[in-house]
Amino acid sequence: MNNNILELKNAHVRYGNIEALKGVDLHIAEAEIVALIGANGAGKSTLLKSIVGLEPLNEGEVTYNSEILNGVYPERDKKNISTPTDVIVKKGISLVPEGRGIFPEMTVKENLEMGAFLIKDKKLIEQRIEEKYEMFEILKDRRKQLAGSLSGGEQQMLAIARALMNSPKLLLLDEPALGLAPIIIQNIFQIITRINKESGVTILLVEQNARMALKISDRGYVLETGNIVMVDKSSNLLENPKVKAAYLGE
Amino acid sequence: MNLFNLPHTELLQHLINGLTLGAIYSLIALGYTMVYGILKFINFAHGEILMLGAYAGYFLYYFLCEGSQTGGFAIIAFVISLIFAMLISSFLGVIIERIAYRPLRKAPRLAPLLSAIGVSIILMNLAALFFGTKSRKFDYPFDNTALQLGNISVTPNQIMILIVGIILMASLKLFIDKTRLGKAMRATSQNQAVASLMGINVNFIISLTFAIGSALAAVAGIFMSMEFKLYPTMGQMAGLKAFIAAVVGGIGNISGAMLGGILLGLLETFGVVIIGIPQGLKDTIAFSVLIIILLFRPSGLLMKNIREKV
Ligand SMILES: Nc1ncnc2c1ncn2[C@@H]1O[C@H](COP(=O)(O)OP(=O)(O)OP(=O)(O)O)[C@@H](O)[C@H]1O
Ligand SMILES: [Mg+2]
Repeated sequence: MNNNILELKNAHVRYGNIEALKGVDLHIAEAEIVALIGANGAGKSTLLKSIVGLEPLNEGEVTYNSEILNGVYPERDKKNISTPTDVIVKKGISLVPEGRGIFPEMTVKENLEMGAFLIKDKKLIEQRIEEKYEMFEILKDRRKQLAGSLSGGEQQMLAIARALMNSPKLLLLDEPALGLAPIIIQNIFQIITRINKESGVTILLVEQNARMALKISDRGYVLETGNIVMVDKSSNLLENPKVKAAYLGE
Repeated sequence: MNLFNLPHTELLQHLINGLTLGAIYSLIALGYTMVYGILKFINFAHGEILMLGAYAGYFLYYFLCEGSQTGGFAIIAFVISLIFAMLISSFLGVIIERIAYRPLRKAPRLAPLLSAIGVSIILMNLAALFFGTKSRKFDYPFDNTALQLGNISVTPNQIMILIVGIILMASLKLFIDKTRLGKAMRATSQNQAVASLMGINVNFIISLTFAIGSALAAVAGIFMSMEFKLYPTMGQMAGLKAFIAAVVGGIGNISGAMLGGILLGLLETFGVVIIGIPQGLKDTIAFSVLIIILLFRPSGLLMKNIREKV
């Protein structure tokens, strides 16, 4: 049909009276890095949650490799039929949630093991853990430490490493740079680029740090109070006067 | 009389009695704490799950060996009945969660609590209706004459309770600390949404938690029916005490529930001995001490305070 790994069509999500997504159309092609930028409360996290089935759509649909993951079926009284999150994850989508969502009372290594929950082969799990230790050396030193005692930057590395344990085809990142020092942000963005270039993982990156996000991405979407107001090549968005004024502080 | 004037042997004797009772409380407390850890909710029907498991084991035992004979066959029948009781309680726990709690998971927190109290009352009344209110006693499948070890006397039943209690608790701890599913249980109790993002089927983990907690309660129920009595409201007081033991240990904390249960058993036993209060008032002293512990450590003895950094 097409080479879009992910598509949202007319996606609506309502929380009571608040409509957080008001008919979002978005698509991502295989091996792309797509940035999604927007102010606080624009609906970015809601959009990511709807992809992994943590927020059911009230209208529209999310498809992954042309298969519907989350949607509303007019022929079934407009009931939402969303695939359970664990089943969506099994299909190859990982989300690094906002605020990292590490398991604070488990060790670094146990957190990584949880990322590999769907893998039964113990040898493969060990091998993947070693790979992650190579990618994020600090995690190796901290492997026996409780994750709750890690610094914010270390927790973010752990959250990303954990999301990669399952070797996802599509990686969703919710504000990975939030609250981190510039040097760590640099490091994290390099790693994101590496994951995409070396392993061909498709990436949807939500960021308030718009400049960095647009620099490493192929295309970008701008979300404003539940609506996509702009979509373009990231290099064009970086030059766009409106984007510059609203999101790049120029 | 006070603790320091007690002869050593007598001290040891009370210690064994207290540990036996404590092991029973611990087994029950684990169910409260495991469910609380995952759903942040107190399963007030836990005592009735215990009671029905005990009846199931009792009826199968008497069906199999028609009475109170002892010997090889009785022991086999007992083991089969114990396992049967565990299965029945597990099944009940899982079903109750599906029917009475799961539909209320997104409701205000008081709703599932009330639902649990309702289930508890219904089960108690059904038990009274079908099994009668008279107390029964689960006969020992072995000769329960006390063994004399020096001046201490220990019954085979006490030894069994201690050994089975220790084995079950150690296995549970190993399961939760080391296995893939045990770790998934811990992950689910720390963050359900993120656990589902790991590919964990959270509903399955919740059912598993109810199954394990209920099976342990069934064992405690059988032990209580042997040491004490079997009757439709037996789960009420035992459940309340075990719940408090779980809170004292740190609700949601597995080791805390074990510790809290043992502590309560020891307090009850020594409370009577040291202060010499009448047997009937033994709960008063135990609960008073527990309240004092909570005043000093409101989140329980073993509650860690590691929070996710933001
Ligand atoms: N569980 C919820 N219940 C009610 N309203 C919610 C809920 N989650 C989000 N909202 C509302 O939906 C809107 C979009 O929220 P969302 O978290 O998706 O924004 P965001 O773009 O991720 O913001 P931020 O950059 O601050 O993370 C906001 O107005 C928010 O208040
Ligand atoms: Mg957000």
